[in-house]
Amino acid sequence: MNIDRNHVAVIGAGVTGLTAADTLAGWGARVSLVEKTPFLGGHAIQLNCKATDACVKCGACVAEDKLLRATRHPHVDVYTGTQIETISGQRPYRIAYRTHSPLVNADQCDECGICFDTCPVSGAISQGHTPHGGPYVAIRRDLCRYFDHAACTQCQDACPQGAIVLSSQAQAGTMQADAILLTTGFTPYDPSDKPYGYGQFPNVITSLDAERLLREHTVMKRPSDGRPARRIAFIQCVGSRDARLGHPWCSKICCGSSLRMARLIQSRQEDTQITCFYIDVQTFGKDFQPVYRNIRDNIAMIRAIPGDILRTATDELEVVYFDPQSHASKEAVFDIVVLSVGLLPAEGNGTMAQTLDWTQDESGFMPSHGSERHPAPEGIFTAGAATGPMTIAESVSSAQESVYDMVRFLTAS
Amino acid sequence: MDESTTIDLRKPTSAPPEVIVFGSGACAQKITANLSDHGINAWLAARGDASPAAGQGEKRHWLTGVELTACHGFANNFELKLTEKGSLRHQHVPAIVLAEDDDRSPNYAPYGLSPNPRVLSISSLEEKMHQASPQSLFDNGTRIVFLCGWHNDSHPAIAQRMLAACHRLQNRSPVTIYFMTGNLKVAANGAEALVHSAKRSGAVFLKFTDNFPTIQTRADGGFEIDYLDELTRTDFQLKADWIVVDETIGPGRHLDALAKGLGINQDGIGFAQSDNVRRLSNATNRRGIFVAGGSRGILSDAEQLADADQVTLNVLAFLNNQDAEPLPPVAIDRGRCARCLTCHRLCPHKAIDIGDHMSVVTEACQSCGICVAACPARAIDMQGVNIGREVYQRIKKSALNDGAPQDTSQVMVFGCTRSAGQARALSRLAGHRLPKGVLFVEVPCGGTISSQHLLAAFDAGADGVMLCTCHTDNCQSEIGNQLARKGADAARILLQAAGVESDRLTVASVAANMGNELTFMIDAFVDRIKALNGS
Repeated sequence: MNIDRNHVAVIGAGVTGLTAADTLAGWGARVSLVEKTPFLGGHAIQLNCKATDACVKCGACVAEDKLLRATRHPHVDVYTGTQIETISGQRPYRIAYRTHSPLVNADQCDECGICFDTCPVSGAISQGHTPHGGPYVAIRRDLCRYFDHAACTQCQDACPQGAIVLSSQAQAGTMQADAILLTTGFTPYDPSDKPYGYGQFPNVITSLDAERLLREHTVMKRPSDGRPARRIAFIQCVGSRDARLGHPWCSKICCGSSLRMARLIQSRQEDTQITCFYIDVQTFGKDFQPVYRNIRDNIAMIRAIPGDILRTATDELEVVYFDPQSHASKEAVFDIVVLSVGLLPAEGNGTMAQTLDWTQDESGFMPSHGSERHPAPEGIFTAGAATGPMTIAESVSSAQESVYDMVRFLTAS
Repeated sequence: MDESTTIDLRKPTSAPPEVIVFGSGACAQKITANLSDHGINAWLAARGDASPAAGQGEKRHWLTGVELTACHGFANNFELKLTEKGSLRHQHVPAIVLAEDDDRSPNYAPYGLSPNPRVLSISSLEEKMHQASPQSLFDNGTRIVFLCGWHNDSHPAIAQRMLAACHRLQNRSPVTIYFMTGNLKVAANGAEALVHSAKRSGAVFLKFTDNFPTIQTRADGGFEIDYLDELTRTDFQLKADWIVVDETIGPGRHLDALAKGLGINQDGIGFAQSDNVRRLSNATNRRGIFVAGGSRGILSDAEQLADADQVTLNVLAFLNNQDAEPLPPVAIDRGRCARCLTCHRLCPHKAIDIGDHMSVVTEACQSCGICVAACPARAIDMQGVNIGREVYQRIKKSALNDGAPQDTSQVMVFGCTRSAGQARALSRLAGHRLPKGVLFVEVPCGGTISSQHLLAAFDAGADGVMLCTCHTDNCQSEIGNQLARKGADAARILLQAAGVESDRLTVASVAANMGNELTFMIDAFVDRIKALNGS
């Protein structure tokens, strides 16, 4: 089984893409690992280790390991900040792309954080990992107002190092590939439209915001005033299992993620009262039953999804829900409310399907390349959360299963 | 043989490598077929009589009635002693795959039921639906109640099958289905969509949180189910003609003996893989032995078949020597070795060979250094790693070069290269510097550090010692972190006897992605040592 002469493209450098790139390179292939953001590691690399005393098998550390392995492999070429424009031809495919040079010069940036404070758009400036695994600051073109005709240059003007150049031009290029693996992952649900005040109340945050806050401070502090949170609510299934939104799927990872995070917070901030609003708790981990018993002893589990969140005069959050025990509407007050946002199909799936002359599945995710209903074009493969919500462990498996199919394809023809 | 399907071993071989696959079900059969496709001499070793799944009819290399008597040897050269229908058989193989099917047992007792012609397990319902069309199975108006995950939660792999059966029956036959469940497990592909669709076709879903229904079996064979409806807080009674119960998935009956025979660590339930993310996805504590499908955990049928492909890739990579990491070799000094077998007993990777003299088998060794630390005769060395010497040299060097005033606290941090070492690299990239006087010593595994090393650090002049290991259940070498903690406990007793505050020695659990946390932990420890020095 020799694929030494083959060139493959892996599109998306989350935990699935990193695993696949490393594995394919191990088999001798030349791998182009293409990532549209300036960072490697996708969502998984932003997650906290949830261990308290013992490992809880969330898999977050796996992303770090896969990143190091893939980036150290001499056969893996990393293209960050690179957007696929078109894919044409037959094997070898011709892939046209545009690479955006980073808007923040990593050599000049000293991560003082002034740009974060200046930027008027939440989330437009973020931190992540460079191709070499190092953390660094980047500006998201999709959110930045400079690219939205508003020509805002506040961060550029404020940067004391002169490290920000918003007028950096993108460069076009092409590459060829004998096979392409789509590992484009998912898009988190944006809960702005839910009646929870997200975007208006600073202490209503998403599960991904919570991961970032916890990673930064190691404890949960209220974004509004930096006070440690004493009462935290998690609301599950925000944007998933939601027929009205047309999202008839469970996002699979959120119950495990939220409840493990809740226990981590309690281990670091004693006496933190945590309430979890849920529909059905999903199984996570091999030792779910004893773990869940322990969770029920320490976390108030309420089987109801709240209707509204209001801000009180003292800047607390009042959650209104229908209490299944008393069978009446109730209010409870919290310092922080974490919305466990669902995993949605990646935003670029439509254009990707179009350029490949393929299709999305009924939910909008990419079909599995083995799908009988939506047969994949020859040489096109999919893996990971691009095909539906997946845990980190499942993503690693999915990457390797797809690599096996790719190796078979490349050696058979 | 066609060159394109032959495995490129990158070294001349006279015969194709042989691989043995323990198991008999669809997953094991697919692995065997996959490996055969790649020119491997793959043997399926079934405990009972295996019957080929559709499309897997190749029986040339099937052994039936197989029991494992012993497993000697190491990766690339295992020697298996088997009995095949009672007669002895020796097999030399470079790699072994454990792919026994899981065990699926129907849950009767959790619902207060006993086996009864009108109580079907989900497997027996599937079997019925496979043999006859759903329309012909039940009379018009039949009420079927599905029971799923009440006091003990169900699993998405089971719930998905129940939802699929419920959906199909509700759509294709003149029945009404009541699905009575605790937490409805929909974390499987398409499961939530099945619920929506089944509801639209008339299936009724009833969920319970704390108070579960009671079931009476009537004289005519039917059932009466009394329950409190959670939405309306009203008592109801439901009459059912049939009941379908969920199942519990556990390790196959022969898995325990196989895992023990092969020296494979098991998880808390008994599956043949420790519950450790470092084993993702098919690895075991022993190099060259792989575990797949229902032998490694609860996987749906589709996941088991996909896992067959994954393990094939991993086995081929191993045979190709692609999985080998560049690790420092470990050797036993024959002159010093007293054959006490401590190394053999402790080695989590079963890499110690007891021959005419004790030796470390490179193919199996992961260079964790547990044997080096534990050997009472100090007869074992890891090339390029001498922690005792490094401790003295680093402290001496820092005292000379740091230009630190005499009163700066010296703190030595030992960190496992797979966790704290990576976290340290992350924190460095984030711009965090180690406080003055802190020396970070990266070691292959927490288990490399013995109580002597910890005491040596104090002897060399350290004011405080911090030992960073992986979290429990996250050690590449399974027990390295536990041994490190034991070593620290032993050292603490001696420190106390010598009048040194035991607070000066601490053990922390650090994961590879805990860059910030590690920085805070080290800062806090340095402050504590400063306080102790000041008092």
